[in-house]
Amino acid sequence: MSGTLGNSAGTVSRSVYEGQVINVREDTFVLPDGREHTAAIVEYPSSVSVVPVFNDGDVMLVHQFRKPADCFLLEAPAGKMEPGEQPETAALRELQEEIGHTAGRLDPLASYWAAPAYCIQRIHSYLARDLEPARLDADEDEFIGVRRVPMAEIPGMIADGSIRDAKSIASLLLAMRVMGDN
Amino acid sequence: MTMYPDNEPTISSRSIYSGRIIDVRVDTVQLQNGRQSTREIVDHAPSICVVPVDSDGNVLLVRQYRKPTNDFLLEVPAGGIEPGETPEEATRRELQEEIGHTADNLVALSAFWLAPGWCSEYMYAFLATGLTAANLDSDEDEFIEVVRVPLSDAAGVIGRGEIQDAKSVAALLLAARALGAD
Repeated sequence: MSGTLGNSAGTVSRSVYEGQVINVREDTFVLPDGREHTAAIVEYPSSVSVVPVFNDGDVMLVHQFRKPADCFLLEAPAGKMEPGEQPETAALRELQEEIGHTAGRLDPLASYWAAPAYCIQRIHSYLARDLEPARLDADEDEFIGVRRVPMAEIPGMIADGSIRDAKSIASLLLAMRVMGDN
Repeated sequence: MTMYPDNEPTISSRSIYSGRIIDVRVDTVQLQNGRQSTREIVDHAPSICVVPVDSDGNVLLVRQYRKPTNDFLLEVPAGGIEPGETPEEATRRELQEEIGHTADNLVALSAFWLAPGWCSEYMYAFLATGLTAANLDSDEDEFIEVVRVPLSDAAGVIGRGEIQDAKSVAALLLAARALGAD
């Protein structure tokens, strides 16, 4: 496999959309066999996903309508990092905005790409413990409910389709491993 | 007090971009408080991903260059569902194209949105066992290397940062649980 493909020097980028949250560009580059290829790439900010676990082992999930899915989804609290913001800072901010708590302890679980075939979004996921009530106002166009469930119920909720979000499944199962609750 | 629907009905939809893999639209929606807001949405066809496990307990992963990440990523085999295909048919086709195998058994692990905050892509995840070598020509613009990793080491591989892809993390941890290999 050619190592030169990892070099973006020969790439020509053309902007096709600049929006409020996403930008879209078309990159033209050369494949290993020498042919030219054009791919649409979505630019979306790096994000955080947080699994907040109370001392009794309950996890707090958020419930909200997701227009792209056209339904309500149950997810781990998550959100975009603001420009210049560290992922840990974003994780604690999102917890306060979405579930009205902050965390005394934040441990990294993993970092991963959300949709690496066509998007640059990277998600940093955390396990949050030692939770204390602390509220920040949420974004004005977000309407978020919370649902507190025992961690042991998470695998069943994934199996029965109650949780249908890749980052939530990934971060919840990673959190369960850290908590030693397999 | 006027009650508004909580499912963000679409007031208008504007097509922004139409590409080979993704389309982009901006929907104007009515919020739960009666106000209007816009949602930028990337449309992508439904897709599948699959955790193929051989008789030795190894997972067959694929390594390929992902332009948006400017890197080679290790992932579970995955791909779009073509018109008229069922998720199972798409899974069997991708197994042949990407790792050159057929599978006796496909078990549904879960189905999830990849990035429900901005993208409509819905992905079905399968576990494949009973593998037999059998090749189909792959998509002409995919250059894929197959890598075998023990399923029992999936969590270690994720923990060491060798897999940085949300669907792969989710599907591998689900497969490990399903096979009792975690």
